[in-house]
Amino acid sequence: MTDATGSIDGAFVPVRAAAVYTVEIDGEAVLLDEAHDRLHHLNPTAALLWSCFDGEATVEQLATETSEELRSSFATVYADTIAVVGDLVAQELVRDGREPGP
Amino acid sequence: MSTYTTVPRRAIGCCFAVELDDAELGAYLDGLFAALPRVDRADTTIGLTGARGCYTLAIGDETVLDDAELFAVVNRLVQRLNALATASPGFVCAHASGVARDGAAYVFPAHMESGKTTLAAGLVRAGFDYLTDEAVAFDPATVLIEPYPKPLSLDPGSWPLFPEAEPDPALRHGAALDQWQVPVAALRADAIGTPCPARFVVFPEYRADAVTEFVPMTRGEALVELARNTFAFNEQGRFALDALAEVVRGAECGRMTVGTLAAAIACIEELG
Repeated sequence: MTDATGSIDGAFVPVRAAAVYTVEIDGEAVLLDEAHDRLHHLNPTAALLWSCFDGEATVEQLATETSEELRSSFATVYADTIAVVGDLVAQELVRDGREPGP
Repeated sequence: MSTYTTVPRRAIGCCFAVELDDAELGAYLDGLFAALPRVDRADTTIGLTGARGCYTLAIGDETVLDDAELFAVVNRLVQRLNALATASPGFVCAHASGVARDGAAYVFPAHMESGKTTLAAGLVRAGFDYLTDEAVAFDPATVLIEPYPKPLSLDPGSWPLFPEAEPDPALRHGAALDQWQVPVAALRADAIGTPCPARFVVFPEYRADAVTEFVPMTRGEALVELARNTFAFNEQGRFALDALAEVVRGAECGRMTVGTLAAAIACIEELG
């Protein structure tokens, strides 16, 4: 499997894949990837980040806002954000908004 | 030419009847499907013709099974009925067994060989109402479960647990069985459930000699598992996902390792 995390830095702009339908439940999220007929479960941290992916905010901006909101250290939240985004990229649920869309 | 038509009945949304040329066999099928709701007329007619050792099963113009023993034909008939029932428009059907108590349903989604029929049979015998052993049909408009009280399809590993459910040997004509089709009345009289919401969604897994235990899971995890156990989920997509999300929002969810039937029944009774 490709290590998608390595290509993601603070300037990465997460954009949700177009064919993904989201259901939120108890702070978690279930994603239906209609392009690949796959289901994904996001824990509360990943679900919170997923809800913030607006195609404009960078990973660094998201980590800054989230760390302030959660009153957690930026370094920890930044590392978590990179990991979550990397995982979502690997599953073709997120792409980089700086690059042309499909 | 058929001489007997079974009472028209509804399997979720499929209204069916069986036409036969053997009245004794027809009466047997009427007993087998007696728990399903009676309807005025059938939209689907199933043909069962032949005699000992060489029966033919047909649905419309399609010959489903030919030159077969009686119980092989009956087993296939139940399987095809399941397929027709789970394709009923307007319902989201999970591959699950289900029982109810006090108007609240316990849903057990699982793949084959996980023990969901055995669990349902045991719970019905213990006093729960029977909803189904194969397909839990959710009505997205109401989030209620539409009962599908088909005959329970018991595999050989469960037969010693339910000796009272053995089919009439006179109908076997010496043929070997690979599954029992058991009308719920053989387990307990007046055991048919009514439409009700899911209160518990429990994913059972039978493991011989394991300690029986219930482990809670989040509703998000349960939603994914329930969707993966839903018939034609990909064809229904977000419609089904929304319906199932409403189901789990109203339910407690978890996994249950089943070591013995008695322990599993006790575990479920403790939940409620």
